[in-house]
Amino acid sequence: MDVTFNREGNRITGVFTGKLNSNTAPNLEEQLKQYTSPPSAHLILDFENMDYISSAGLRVVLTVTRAFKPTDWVFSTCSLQEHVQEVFEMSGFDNFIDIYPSRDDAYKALE
Amino acid sequence: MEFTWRKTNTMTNLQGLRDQLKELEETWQLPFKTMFALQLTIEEMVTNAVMHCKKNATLDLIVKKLENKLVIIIKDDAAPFNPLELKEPDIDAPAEKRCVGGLGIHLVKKKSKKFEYRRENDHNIVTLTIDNSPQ
Repeated sequence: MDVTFNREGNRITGVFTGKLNSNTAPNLEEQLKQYTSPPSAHLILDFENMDYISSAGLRVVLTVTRAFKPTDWVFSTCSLQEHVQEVFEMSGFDNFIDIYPSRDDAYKALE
Repeated sequence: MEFTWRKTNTMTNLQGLRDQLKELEETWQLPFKTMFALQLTIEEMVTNAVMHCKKNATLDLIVKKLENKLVIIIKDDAAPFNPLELKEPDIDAPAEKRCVGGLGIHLVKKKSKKFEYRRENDHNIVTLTIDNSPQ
């Protein structure tokens, strides 16, 4: 897996590539820490190039969601592949995580 | 066609298994959809065995390719554990109340057409069927 972060003003975009499984999840969690403890900007995770996610990956996403909950900063995800989106839905995560079809949509929602 | 694997329950062995499943994808010409379900069900079941079984439990995995389906059999020699008796996670709960325990098995059940458990000769045996019909 690989994740790159890009900050523009008060908005950070994290672009994930690869598989988010029990092997890679701790690595992502570690890299997210600087943006989540505590959050100091909006965070958008772009999952367009994520071709796999397991419950270990969902756990990381839940941790991020909880970190943003008490703040005024927004956490959202975008561009989920069909099978990844399905895992979010099967777990009910789509109930409390904002999922946008594209990065532009995620950015627009911040305006 | 049949794939077999036998190792102790460690994260390192799970990573090795992932690589072997990748090879299986090519040999068996599995469509993306099937491969996703295969990876997910096996990862969740093996991760569960790594987290909750005794150390050095032996895992036996068999994947059979039948017409339009894959049958996955996972056997371990740990204490009795019936995943079907596991409490279902409350998928309607808000983020702050969500508990991630049980989520992996929940995903496996959702992805499987059939999910069976039996205890036999001091082994837990889970048999799963996942769809492999042409797209």
